[in-house]
Amino acid sequence: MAAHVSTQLRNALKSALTGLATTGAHVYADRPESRSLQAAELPGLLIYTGEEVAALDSLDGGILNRTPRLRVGIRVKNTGAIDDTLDQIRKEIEIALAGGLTVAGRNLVAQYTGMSEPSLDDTLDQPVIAAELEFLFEFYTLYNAPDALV
Amino acid sequence: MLGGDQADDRNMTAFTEPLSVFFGAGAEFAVSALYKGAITISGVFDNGSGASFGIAGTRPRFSCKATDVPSPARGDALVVNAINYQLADWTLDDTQTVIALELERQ
Repeated sequence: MAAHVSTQLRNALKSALTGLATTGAHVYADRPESRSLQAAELPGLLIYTGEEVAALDSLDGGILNRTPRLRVGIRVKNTGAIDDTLDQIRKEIEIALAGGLTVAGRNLVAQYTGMSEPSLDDTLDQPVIAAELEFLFEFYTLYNAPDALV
Repeated sequence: MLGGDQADDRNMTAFTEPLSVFFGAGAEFAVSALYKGAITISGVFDNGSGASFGIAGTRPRFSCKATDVPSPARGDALVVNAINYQLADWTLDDTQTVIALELERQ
């Protein structure tokens, strides 16, 4: 039995973002925010499951329309033009997801819905910046089978 | 007759803090640092762990006699324990005699 589509989606997102030019293999899902990224893990991306809205989409109530949101946290620490580094990472992420994600054999559009205001801090040994991107997905599942797309 | 506190106030005399005991070369917790590539100064280096927005790091700070760094400027170089830093900010204590240099690792 396949995993919940949410898990499949998150795994597909992690796979799509792994190997980008600036962040490389520094892509982390299922990581508590309290577990700070160390120097060897930066610059890094954090994948979080966001809000999901679901609604019945058939008269018999058998099909659900689902619109989950996934967030990608960008974490950078360095000297120099730290905003430019953030923008470069954003560019690589948006390009990587422009073609959507393949989940359970289907291509799902990754709709970019925006970025949080970046947070800057200069009280550590090097300046740090953090921001969250959000992507919206839409697909259908059977009411009693959340592990497969219809 | 004066009370205890008043008597203490009248007996107080100003004195000069011997800062070299704390920050001078050879002081128990002091280390040497190279300031602006040419001036050797001595002070206490703190580099405790910290985190911000889920990013780990340290908070390097070098405290020394203010007279050793009379005209600090952002970007001044400081080498401590063979690690290059730049001066990011600084604060003087209440007596204006001790300066804390907040450092950015290069």
